[in-house]
Amino acid sequence: MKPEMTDQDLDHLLAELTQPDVPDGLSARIMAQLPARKTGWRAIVFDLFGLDQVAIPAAGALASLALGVFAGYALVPTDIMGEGGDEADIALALAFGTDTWLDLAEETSR
Amino acid sequence: MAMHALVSEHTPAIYRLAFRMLANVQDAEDVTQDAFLRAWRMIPNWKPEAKFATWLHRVALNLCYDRLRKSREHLLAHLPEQADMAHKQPDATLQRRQIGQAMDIAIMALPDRQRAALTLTALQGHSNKDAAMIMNVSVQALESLLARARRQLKKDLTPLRESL
Repeated sequence: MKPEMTDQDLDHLLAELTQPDVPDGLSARIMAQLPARKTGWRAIVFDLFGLDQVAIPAAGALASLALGVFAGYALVPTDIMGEGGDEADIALALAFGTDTWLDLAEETSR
Repeated sequence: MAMHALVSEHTPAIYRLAFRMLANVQDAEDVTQDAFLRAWRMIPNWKPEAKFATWLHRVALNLCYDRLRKSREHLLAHLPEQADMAHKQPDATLQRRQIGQAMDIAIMALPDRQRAALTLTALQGHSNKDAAMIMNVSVQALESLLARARRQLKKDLTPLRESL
């Protein structure tokens, strides 16, 4: 009966065992499979706060609102606001659309 | 750029782990690609409680387990035939390559978790602690898996002893 393999024998065999070859170009193929992704500071900020999944629509809406407010201040002539009119309200109304603006303008001019 | 560096650095280890687990080039490639794809999606949520390599190995190992579960019947159908080779060849003076082949077959014949434990530690050089983290088991459980794997290998490979 043959003597059983020792731990040393096994360690020797395991140390000698050739590692499987990695297929050529595997890393490149993996990189090609990865979807395009934002890079630079935007990626860091978006990834940190999850902005791309949650807040981008909200941020877009806020940006539109801010633009509307700015446009209101910059473009609405003071004489259409009427006496007692509130520039900020009218500018805000502009951001929401004409109907709302009309409603608000009517309300503020009462 | 950072991802490119990560892929280049970790692809060989992940592929070799997958190959040891699945014994199939195509499956090992698929698992390696899938592991990185998952890592890519999960990186924003990754918390640095573990090293990236440990985490990536765990993802890859779980993918291997999934595949093994699905292809269990296929593997079982082919292994006995291959394992027989390891027992038939030892009487002859084996060349180094043949010894390697017999080793490969004996390792592949180990139960999945024993094979994973042995591959991670003896073949890939992970510490027992890291290997236990990758396998999501305690260090004691890992050591038990390793002991059983080594016992089985010694038994299966004893006929090779004269060739050493």
